[in-house]
Amino acid sequence: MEEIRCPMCGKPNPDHLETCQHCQARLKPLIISSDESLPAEPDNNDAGLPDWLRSDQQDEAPSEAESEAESTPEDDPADDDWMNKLREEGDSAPIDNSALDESPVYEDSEEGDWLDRIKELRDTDEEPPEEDDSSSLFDGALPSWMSEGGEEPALEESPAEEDSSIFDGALPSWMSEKEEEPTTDEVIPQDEAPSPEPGASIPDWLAASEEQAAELDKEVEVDESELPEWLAGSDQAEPEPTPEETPILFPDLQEAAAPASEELASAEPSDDELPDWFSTKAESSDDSPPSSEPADDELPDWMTEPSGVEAEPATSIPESTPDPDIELPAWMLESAEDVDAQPAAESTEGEIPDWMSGEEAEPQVSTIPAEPDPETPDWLEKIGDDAIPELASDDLSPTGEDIFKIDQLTELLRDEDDLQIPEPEGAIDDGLAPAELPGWLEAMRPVESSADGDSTAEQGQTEQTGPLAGLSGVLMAEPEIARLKQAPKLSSRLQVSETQQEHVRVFRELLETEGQAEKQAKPIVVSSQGLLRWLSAFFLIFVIGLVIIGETQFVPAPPQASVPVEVLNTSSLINSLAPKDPVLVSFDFEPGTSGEMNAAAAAVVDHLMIRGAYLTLISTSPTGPALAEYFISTVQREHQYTSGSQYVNLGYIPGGASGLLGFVQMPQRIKPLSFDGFDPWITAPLDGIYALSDFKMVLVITDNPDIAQSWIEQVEPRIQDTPLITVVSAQVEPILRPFVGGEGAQVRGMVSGVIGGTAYEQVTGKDNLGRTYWDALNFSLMTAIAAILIGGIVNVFSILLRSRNRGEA
Amino acid sequence: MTISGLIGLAFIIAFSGLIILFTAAKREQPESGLRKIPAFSRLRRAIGLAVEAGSRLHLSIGRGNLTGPESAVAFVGLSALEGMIRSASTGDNPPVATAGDPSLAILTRDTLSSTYRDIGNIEHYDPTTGQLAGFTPFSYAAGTLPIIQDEKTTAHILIGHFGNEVALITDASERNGDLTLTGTDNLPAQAILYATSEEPLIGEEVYASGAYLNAGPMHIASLRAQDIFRWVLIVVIILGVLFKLAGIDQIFTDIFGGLL
Amino acid sequence: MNLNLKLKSPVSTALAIGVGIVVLLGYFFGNDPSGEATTLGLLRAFLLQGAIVWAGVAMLVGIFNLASVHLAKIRANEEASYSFILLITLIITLGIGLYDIVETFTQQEINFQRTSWIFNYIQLPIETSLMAVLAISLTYAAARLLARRLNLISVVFVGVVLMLLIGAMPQVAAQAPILAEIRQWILRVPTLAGARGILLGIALGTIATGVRILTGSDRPYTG
Repeated sequence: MEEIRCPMCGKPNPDHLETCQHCQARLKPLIISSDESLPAEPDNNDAGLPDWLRSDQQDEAPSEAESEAESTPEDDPADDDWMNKLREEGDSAPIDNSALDESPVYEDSEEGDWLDRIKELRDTDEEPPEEDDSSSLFDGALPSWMSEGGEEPALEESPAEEDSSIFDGALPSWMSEKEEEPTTDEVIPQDEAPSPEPGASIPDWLAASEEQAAELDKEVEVDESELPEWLAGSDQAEPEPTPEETPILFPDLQEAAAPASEELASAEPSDDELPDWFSTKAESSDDSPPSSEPADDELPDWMTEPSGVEAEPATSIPESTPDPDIELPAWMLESAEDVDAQPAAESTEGEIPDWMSGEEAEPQVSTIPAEPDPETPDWLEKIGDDAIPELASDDLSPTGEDIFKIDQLTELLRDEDDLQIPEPEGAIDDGLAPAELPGWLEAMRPVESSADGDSTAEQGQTEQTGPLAGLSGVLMAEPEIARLKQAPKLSSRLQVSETQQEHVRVFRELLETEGQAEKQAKPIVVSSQGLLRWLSAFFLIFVIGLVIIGETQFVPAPPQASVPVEVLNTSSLINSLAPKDPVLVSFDFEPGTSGEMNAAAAAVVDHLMIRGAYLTLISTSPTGPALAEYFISTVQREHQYTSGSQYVNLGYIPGGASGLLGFVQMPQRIKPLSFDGFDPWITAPLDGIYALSDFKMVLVITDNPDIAQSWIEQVEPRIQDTPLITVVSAQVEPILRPFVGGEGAQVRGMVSGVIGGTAYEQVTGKDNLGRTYWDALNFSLMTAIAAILIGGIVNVFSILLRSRNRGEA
Repeated sequence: MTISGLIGLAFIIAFSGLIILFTAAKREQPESGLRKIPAFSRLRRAIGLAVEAGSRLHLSIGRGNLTGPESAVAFVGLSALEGMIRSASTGDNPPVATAGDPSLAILTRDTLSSTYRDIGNIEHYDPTTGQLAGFTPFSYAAGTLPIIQDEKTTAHILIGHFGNEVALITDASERNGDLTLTGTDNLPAQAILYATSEEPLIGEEVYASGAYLNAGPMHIASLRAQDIFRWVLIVVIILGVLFKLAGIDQIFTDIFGGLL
Repeated sequence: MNLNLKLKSPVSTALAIGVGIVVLLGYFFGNDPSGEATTLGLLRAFLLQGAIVWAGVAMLVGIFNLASVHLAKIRANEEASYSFILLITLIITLGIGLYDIVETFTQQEINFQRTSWIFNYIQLPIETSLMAVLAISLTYAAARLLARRLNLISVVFVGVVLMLLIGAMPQVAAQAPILAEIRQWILRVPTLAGARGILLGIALGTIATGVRILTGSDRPYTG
């Protein structure tokens, strides 16, 4: 019976066992093709995520890539920070490419901006750029709340500690537990693997960090001592199972992948050249578990739940618009100048709130596109589908290979001198010998099962190499640094989904309309109503105009028998006047009604003038005196009445009824001057007049029932036997009629409207304005009756029709 | 003093006493017992809508003379203006008021400024919101038309003394699709408004505006006093008709004839 | 007894109430039995004179108000075309009126021909035209009434309008005297009765408003 050595505890087990009889570790892990495993689960997660969270995840991609672009291979303290973060993230969090694939950061239109800035930065400043420059490039990508987080000065002082603290706060509990479990036993050796020989294939920034590497060596040594022997060997062998799988970008890894148990020791010299982020990683990994606890407390439930999903989609910093006003921590500023080939994503961590860091940390464990991008450059295609997932994808890309349009990147980076892009083909040619796995390890590799995409999708990320190959949900075998790749193209713009854009649009409209006066919905004016209005106007104007212009007299005047009694009384009272009798005439109507009032009063005043009465004109309306003058000088011009001799215009009495009362009580004090500006009380019309009762008659011409009432109430009681007669508009007649009567009534005579004026002309036997307007009046009445009838019928039928249609509907 | 003068004085004193009595007695339930008038319900709704929509209310107090009897309805319009400002003071566009008489225009401005000051919102007071539209009836109507045609204005409250010219205002308002609530003391104008206005106040309903717009407890008390005296007048008229029919009215004429 | 009187400006409130009471009492006690004016009557007459003068001054204030409002609209560029026309015509009319007054007093000859020309040939036709438009509007409103409110009252309203219009045509009345009789009956009975009832209610409302002002409850003034 063959034995299978447990990959966890190293103890032998019978080969038929599925799990280790000593430690219960799975002996025959399920290997699932990474081609299918990676995008599947994040998609599922995405589906369950709210839109805003999805957007966060999408937005993280550009921010990570952006921070990569801002990094440089130069050896500076900032490298420690982001590398530590990289390592932590690589150890703990899976990467989801699905969201990244959807992200529009790879669009050409958006690549140009940030890359131009990168070029500018590098062209203008080979040295670390000014803080403002870097911040201007980067800060804009962060929302304000993120920027605030990024302003913590502690990051500059103690980057490593700060990084760990950042992660602590960001990691949910489930992740903290995971971090506790793997420790350096698993992580560090895997980190070593891709970097045994810094040199040709390792970028400058990595090769240059020798000092950090020295520190890392110590870590590695310590870690190795804690490893079981079998695992130490297998760890070294895991990146290079076959020549085909040999990483092309890192040919050195092939050497490191030489299958020997003592390769770990042989890798030690190369560890000297490793940057010190390895050492800080050890610190951070040690520190992270305790510090992650309080972070969980700070996380709300809703955030903790999605964080608990292992295959959390890769997230990005949800803003990418540069804002020069926002300050960045030093490490980020430095990384901003390191625009070439930096696997950043962590350079923003200092500014990302804890919860966001947690989201970022998750996806980076396992999100690598399994299938080559259709736009994958030739050199990458040559690598083959097998090799990419293991090294270039799984290990080298911190954010996932397919988040970038690689062809565009390579074309772009071809011009970038500082970019240390490993020569793929050269790497193959010079390449390392294919690693050979030990037989026992080869036998236990569940490669056959790797095609089972469904199970992988359910279990999350599946380890592709090393002794843990086939196990799902394991921590990354290779550090982030080993997955170094070209600088991604980033967008400096905020990436938002269509749904978010719609939300933004609605919210913006809401805000914009908030301060504006909203026009209330107004009913649609029915066009038939407008037509009715125009038809009414047309026919009225046409008929009246035709009759007036034609001066027709088709319609006979009212017969004598139909003359009202009040009209006859008026005529009788005027006939009783002697020549030069003073008569007070009130012109209390408005210019608008002068047409009707002139026609109604023309015959009456004409009768007065015929009788030779002296007229005193007064008005309680501001326009009354002018109307009186117009009437005397125009309507009754045939009598040639002159002001001051036969008539006097006292003008306007302000104050309405009160003014009228005052005029009744003290006329000479109220009206000391005439309308023309002279003393009226010495003229003939007012000779011997000291009170209103001295007048022989009071005639009120008004279109306003209230004014008529004022005269009746305020004046009539004080004029004793002087008769009060009225010429009123037709609309006043019904209201005034109770006051009208014969002897003893308050109003002794009344002429109402054009009809009354025409009737009065019939009494006096002299045609006047009333007869002139008579035909026009009659025809306009007929037209109005027709319009009201037809319009009313049309409206009623339209309403009935509408209600009927509504009922049918 | 004649007996009619004494009756008039007694009438006024009794009316004042009732108003004061009802004001003191019914302060706890200021709005109880008011019948529903649809026009005021729509007015309140229009005020609310105007505040929400940020639109403007227009109130016109007519062209009655301040020193004439028609001033009473203009004062009612000023009370309505005060209530409107208090209700719509939070709106973006303050109410605008027009008048057809210069003295009323002065009072309109005074009411606007004092109300804004009372509610602590004097910075919202715009002197141009109280304006004289015109001196004559038709010039007043013509001066009001631009305000009606202003798109910001969505409701027009016409409470005051109007004549025929009010038809031009309501016609323009209807064409603009605005709400028009009207009340006047002029009978011909009432007939016109019934046909042209969306919400006409019939008869003396216009004098109840203050009570329905929460202008104060005395407005409600005065309504109750009016109701009482309305019944008194009804009884007097019926008695007069009965006496006339019975032929005993001459007795009263002989007794009080010299005093009346 | 709390009447919630607005006594925030006690001086002006007391002055307004006092003047109102004096004028009211002067109406009843203004003359002694012999017909001579009493002190109250004289005081009332003085106050009335003041009110008349004040009403005249208010016209002037109204002109300034009108001008200031439209000037503000012009400054605010708020649909100022009408305001601009109004101010221009106001200035022209005022100038011509002042010129007529000065000429009258300098030449000792009454000459308001220019002002009269403006009134007779500009204001009068404009306002008369508006009245003509009003006639059209009222015709249209009567036709549209049934569309606005289709109920019994509206039907009666339109019916009465038509009846009165038809009855007002003398030739129709001569051919069908019954129509003239109906018209007269409508005018003298229901119309008059309704108008009387409404006027009584309006009178009560006017008294109530006056009492509120006299007691300071309604205070359309500040001070």
